[in-house]
Amino acid sequence: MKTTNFIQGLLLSSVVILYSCSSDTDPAPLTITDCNGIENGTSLVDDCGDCQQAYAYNYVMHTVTLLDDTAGYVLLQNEMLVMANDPTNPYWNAGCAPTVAPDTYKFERDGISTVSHGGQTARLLMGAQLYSALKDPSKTEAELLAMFNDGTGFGSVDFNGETIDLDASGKKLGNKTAAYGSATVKPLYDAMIAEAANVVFPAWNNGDLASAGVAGYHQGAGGREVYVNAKGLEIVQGFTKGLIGGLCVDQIVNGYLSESKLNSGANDASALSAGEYTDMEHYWDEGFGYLYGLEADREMPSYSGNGSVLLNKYAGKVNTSGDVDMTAVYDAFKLGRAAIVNMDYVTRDAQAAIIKEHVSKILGVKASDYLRDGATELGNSSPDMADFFHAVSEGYGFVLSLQFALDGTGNYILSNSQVNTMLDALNAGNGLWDVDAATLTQMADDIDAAFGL
Amino acid sequence: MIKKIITIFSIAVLLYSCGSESGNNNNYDDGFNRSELLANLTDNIIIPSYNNFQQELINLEQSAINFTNNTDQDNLESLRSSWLDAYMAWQHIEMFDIAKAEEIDFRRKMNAYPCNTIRIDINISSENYDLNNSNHYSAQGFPALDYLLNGLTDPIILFSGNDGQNYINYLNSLVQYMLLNTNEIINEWNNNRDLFINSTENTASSSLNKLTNDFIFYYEKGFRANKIGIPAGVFSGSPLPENVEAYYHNLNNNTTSKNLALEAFVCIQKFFVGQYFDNSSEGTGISDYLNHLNAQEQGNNLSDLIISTFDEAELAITELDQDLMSQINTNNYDMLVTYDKIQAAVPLLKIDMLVYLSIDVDYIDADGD
Repeated sequence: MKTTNFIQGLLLSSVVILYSCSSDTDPAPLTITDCNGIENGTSLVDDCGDCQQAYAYNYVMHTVTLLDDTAGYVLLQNEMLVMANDPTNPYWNAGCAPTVAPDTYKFERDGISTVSHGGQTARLLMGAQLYSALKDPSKTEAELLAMFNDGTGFGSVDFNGETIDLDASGKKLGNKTAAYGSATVKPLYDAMIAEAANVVFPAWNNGDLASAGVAGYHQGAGGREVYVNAKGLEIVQGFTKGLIGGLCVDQIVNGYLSESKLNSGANDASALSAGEYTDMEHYWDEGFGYLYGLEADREMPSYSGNGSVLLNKYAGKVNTSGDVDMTAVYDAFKLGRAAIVNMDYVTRDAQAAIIKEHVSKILGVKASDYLRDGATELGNSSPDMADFFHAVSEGYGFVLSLQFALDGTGNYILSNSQVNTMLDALNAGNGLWDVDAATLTQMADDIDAAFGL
Repeated sequence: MIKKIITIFSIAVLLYSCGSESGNNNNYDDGFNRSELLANLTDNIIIPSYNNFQQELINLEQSAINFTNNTDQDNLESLRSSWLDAYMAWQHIEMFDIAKAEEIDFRRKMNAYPCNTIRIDINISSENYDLNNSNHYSAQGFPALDYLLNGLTDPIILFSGNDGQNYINYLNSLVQYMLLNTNEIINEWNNNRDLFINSTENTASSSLNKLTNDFIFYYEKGFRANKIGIPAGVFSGSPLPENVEAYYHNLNNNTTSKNLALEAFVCIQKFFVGQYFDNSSEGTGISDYLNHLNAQEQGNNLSDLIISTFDEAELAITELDQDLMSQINTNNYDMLVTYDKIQAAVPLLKIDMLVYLSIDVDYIDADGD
């Protein structure tokens, strides 16, 4: 009896092969009953074993009309057809066991870690070295640009007990800076490097004192020493804080954690060996790496040390101040990564949304903070201009970064042109020598309003 | 019960493995006649564009023969002119990197720029090269001809000098190879036209899925990046004005690169709405498909939005300096703004449009690490 069933099944299978493979002749009429009991129906069993139906989705009313069979169904106004296994169908694979986050960001396949973000770690190390180089007046424009755009001039560094030859890593900062958004932004970073090397460093080497319209050295009453351009901008600060948005946040929120990027990565782990990972898993890890890539132990983020000068450092600051809940971010990274392993893309995207919103908020908080610090300093009876230049230069870089920030629904919070308007206000006339406290406070208020702070 | 599940499972697996690379169903039906769309694109755009291109290449071949027989200035000028006409006609077909064209790497053989002048010089003197070998892709096609006809200091002297026969041979072998490949592709279109337009299912290898992906890929790479983005330095540390299309001709003529870009953009726009190759008649286009699906983006009709985004981008290109190299050297910011306006259509095409059409992207951006 069982044998008979088996043979019947086998016969049926072979007929199906003929049916599906021969495209040049009219197939003989043949009916297949789908999982919903409809002959030649369109329902399919998903990876969780659930029978999923096609449906008509009304994208205005957000209502769903399940269809036993799509044949003969005429779409109504504002309706679109969603097939059972369409990538856009949230019900597909939604019924599997709920994804559970592990205790830490630790993912293994057959006992070997599948988490890899070496490219991000390399870039963050490069960022730290470029930060130092922008404070070294012996550097030339060519040397600094080679570090930024060609990924050379770094040498080897020790990181977590491992020697990394950055020059040989093949990684570059420049081609990942302002990679999404307006193409007009990346040249601003190159221009800052050029100005540091060609304007600030000669004045530095020459011992020129800074004044309105003149680049050079300034020491404040409190002892701080700064080297600024003719507009009072400490370029190393503007550039580095600009990288926090233009490199780290942009790559995370607009790059690796975007649905289009994640969905472009294969996620079939069935043939993988120990320690191997899927493209989608790797994309998620790369996003993780731009925030946690310099942690001594990524399973216990400390937000400090290891030469971190970019996003991780400021994530630590806002976490300490309570402005942004970084525990929520870390948890979302864990849960989202587990969701990818579980092929639970609804959970994945929900966690990505949490990360995007929180990480973006870091930029808004710090931009606003530094502008207000500047306004406060100017309000003192004898402002310490070195402290002022330093704070507002950090603010300048964070303002530049704001155009990469996304809100909870995945939309840009501020446009490129809105950010340019703010930068123009800081650059007007003699720049930071001219800007007044009211302008800085208003700008901070506008940022707070845009970010819901 | 378990047996039954296994049987169903085996059917599903067999269907999957035979039918397609994608998980979508085979008898796709959203009430739109994909075949009618494919027929219009094939019969009124693709095949006529190819036929026109073939004719331009035949003219180019004749001009090369005339120049071979008599290497004088008049014949050089008409050869240059035939080259430019064919280059303009090429803009109409570069996006159809499908079937035979894809198989033989047609796009890379015809229009990889900047060309490799060192490789070209070596090939001319050695006369030992295989144009089918990828090492020689950047030593052939329109960019290599651009170097031969417009980039050499004095072509008449070189083509009639001691090594003249080598130059003549290389010129003719490039032109012959372009024509040979083109003929092969046209034959395939003529033979497989019915098969192509009847491939109306929705799998990764179905006609519309391939064609749509090729269209978007071309818009991103062949058009946006190659013609505007790369010369403007979007993907490098600094601008690369010498990487414009038809660099050598543009050095003399000053308008070539921009004209080629504008011609290409007209083709992109006509393809999207299904407008015929040689006149303003409109058949069924992808825009009609989106309208059938009532596709919207934030409350706007998606087709209209894509068309108006195209219009804005085209206007931006039009307003650039007639010489793109001069534009880059004097005011690259406007190039970058133009790039932004071209880029604005990418998410509309690649995300919104493909979601409505239930088509998956079949290429991966080469930006991971």
